[in-house]
Amino acid sequence: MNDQIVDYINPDMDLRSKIHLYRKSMEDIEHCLELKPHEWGRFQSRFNQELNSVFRDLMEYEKKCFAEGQEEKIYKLKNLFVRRVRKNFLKGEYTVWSLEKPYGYAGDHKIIDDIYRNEPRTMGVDRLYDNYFQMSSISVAVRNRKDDFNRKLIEFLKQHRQKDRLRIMNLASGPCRDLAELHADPPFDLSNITFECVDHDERALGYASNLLNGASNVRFRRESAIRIALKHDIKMLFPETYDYIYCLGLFDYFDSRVSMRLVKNLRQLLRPGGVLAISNVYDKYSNPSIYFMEWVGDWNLVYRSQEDFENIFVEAGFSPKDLTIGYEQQGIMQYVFAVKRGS
Amino acid sequence: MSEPKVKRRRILIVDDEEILTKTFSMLLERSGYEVYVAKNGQDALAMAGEESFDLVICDIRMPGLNGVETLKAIRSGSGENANAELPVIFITGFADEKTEQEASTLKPAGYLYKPFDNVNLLSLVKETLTDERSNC
Repeated sequence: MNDQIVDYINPDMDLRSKIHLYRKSMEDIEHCLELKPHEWGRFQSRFNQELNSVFRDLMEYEKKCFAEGQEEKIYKLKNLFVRRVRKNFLKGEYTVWSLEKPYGYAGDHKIIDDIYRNEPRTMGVDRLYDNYFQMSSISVAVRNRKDDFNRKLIEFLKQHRQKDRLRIMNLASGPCRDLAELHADPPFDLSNITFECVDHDERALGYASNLLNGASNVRFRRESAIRIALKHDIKMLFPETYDYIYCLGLFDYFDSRVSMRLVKNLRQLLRPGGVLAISNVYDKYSNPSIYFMEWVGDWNLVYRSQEDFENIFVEAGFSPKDLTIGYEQQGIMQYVFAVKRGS
Repeated sequence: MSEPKVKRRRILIVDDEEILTKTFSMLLERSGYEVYVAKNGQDALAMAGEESFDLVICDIRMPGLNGVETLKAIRSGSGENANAELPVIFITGFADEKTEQEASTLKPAGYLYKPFDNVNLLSLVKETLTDERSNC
């Protein structure tokens, strides 16, 4: 491979030039990897830099537009990008899946489990994109979130496992990789704990059921989280109560009104002393790779300030003193652990 | 004596574009409407199954169920919230011609054109909800 593609990107160039040079650079890389697809590793670092360079410009532009109250400008640029430029970035298994949304919605169980497993299989140029996707700060945050919530859940179970029976709800459970890991290597006897995995997608429940094959204390239930949120009498839908309800990722897709109503209804389903554990994306501007996900993969999330996130719980009936805030390692995700007081 | 509480008109926005839904819902909430946002057709159907809405503002082009399919399903829904006459304003811009034509058969109250049609949005919403009220 010639090294002429080195330093194509000058940090002072404007976005249009960067995209133009990115294209030229990719042609060179593609040509080389067509002959030796297994040698993708030689280009990954440079590839990451070039992509970050393009998406950092988009991020800075968006920040500037929002600060100036000119959302229209960013919207126009995004549409221009989608129509004319996006095709240049559409490679790799994950990005294409993310954009096409074969199950009809973003963040389905398949792509989430792909992120959890972090085992790209493609070769050549596609592999560069798949690695970039997996290395992106948001993918790392998704994996951290799973581990953080698993730790919190185990902590809770350890404290309360002397109870006769514990009932746990995993709402919008997706692939249930976390529960599969917990059952594969249980820190203690889980037999007196019932896990109820609730998801609106039959395919996700089927996938999770396969993954958790043989776990007799795990139940699956198909139900829409929106229905749970907007139900006026939640007890009609869920007559049981729970010791711990957790939900990863779902609030990243809901507006504040639906989020508040969901928390309100979930609070009703908690037993006294029960815990509601919810995550939400927090910082959008920590890494340009998030723009790759949004602008190329069309995977858009609802980012919230800590204040807005906490307000959802307060408006839903929790006292501020019953909320504990946590953060994912990179600060991209925030967590609320809300305790329902009472005897 | 306190004023009787006036029920806020409820609007469902269905669009997967975060910038747009944020802007639209902020404008409408400030104007006194109660706004719900669904990111896709499936979520919109679930919402319409649980709540009654006075108006739907729906993007025509969406992943999964498109705007036309979504509205048809909402209007033909069963249960106490079913409303075969539920008014709709379509958001358009990048839909294909066939879908646009199909949308017109659903007799939308109007169209909003992307990127941002804020002035038109408010007047169209007010007009639609006034007409709808006078038809009751």
